[in-house]
Amino acid sequence: MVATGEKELILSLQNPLEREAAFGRLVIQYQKVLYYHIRRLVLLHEDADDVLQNTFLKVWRNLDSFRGDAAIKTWLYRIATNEALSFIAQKKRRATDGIESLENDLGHSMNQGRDVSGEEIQHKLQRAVETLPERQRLVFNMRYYDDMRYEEMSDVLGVTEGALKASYHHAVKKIESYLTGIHP
Amino acid sequence: MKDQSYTPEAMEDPEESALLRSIARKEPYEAPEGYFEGLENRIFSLIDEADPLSAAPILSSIPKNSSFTVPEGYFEAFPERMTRLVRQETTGSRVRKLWQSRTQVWFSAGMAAAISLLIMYAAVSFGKNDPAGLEGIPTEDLMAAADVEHMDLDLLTEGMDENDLNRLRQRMRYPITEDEYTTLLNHLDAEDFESLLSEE
Repeated sequence: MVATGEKELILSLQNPLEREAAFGRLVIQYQKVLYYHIRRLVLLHEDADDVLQNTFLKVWRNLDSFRGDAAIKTWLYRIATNEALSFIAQKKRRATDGIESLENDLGHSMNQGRDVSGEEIQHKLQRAVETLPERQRLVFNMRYYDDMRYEEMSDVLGVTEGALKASYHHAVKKIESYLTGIHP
Repeated sequence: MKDQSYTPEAMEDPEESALLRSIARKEPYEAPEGYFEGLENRIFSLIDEADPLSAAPILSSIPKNSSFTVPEGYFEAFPERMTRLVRQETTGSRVRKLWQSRTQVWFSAGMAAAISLLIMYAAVSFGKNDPAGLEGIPTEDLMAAADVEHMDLDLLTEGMDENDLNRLRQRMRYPITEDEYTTLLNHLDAEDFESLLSEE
């Protein structure tokens, strides 16, 4: 169900006279949650910044096609996720083509600590998350960090709730054993 | 002594096989009625109830802070940057639309010029050596000439070189309305034909 505030935002986004101001509100409202969602996937700030910018540009260009049937958050997450996954795929392709070395790139992100703040345990958790396969990492992040409901995740990713639950369970298990193995 | 009943020979015993074959293949156990309906959901709801974090004490003990650092002032500056970008995008798209509409007009003009040129050739082909005499051609004939489907291109374009033909053929793919044709024809002259053919 679409909330009243969100309904008003959608109406303003669809009105050419109010569109730009409404878009500004949309960016302010969702920039952080989308940034961290993207950042957890692409790891580097510069990459997250590029992907976030492209995400909002895509949103702007497709405002007319958004009918408001789904929640804005779901729509935004879907675009952000697609953008981030395409970015990662492109990066992998470039690495395969020899334009960039994927190992160097990953090494760079791992060794530089990717501007990760906080205690050592946070670094360890990040390293554990990075060992997960891409899709499992995505599911883990959305559930663990964003507290997203399986139903919402299913709308964003187009995967059944059952598969998401199973995926999250596997991810948690893997992370726990990673942490157990290296935890002092 | 070796148990003969499990040797490959014994298993291939035609008599035993025949005996086994004579028994109807029926599942001897029965599941309660409706057991399989919604089984998947029941399993997943159990998974859901059993929060995997409860079996992950180390992970559960880690505070859910965002561990990534972000440059100072990033989120304050980002909305302004996005607004600038979409404004550029909107201006760019207006310019593109204007350019497209101008191109369309040019194309319509080009089309009319191409048709007129064909008519001129047609006139020559039909023995009317003076292009000025085209004015004497009935409008229906002009419109018929504009009807690409029914035009005899070979006849009309006789004497034109390959490049001109290709360009004209390219332009003939674009439709032109009767009004556009009439309007543009009234405003085009021989120079337009020249410029049409000199344009890529």
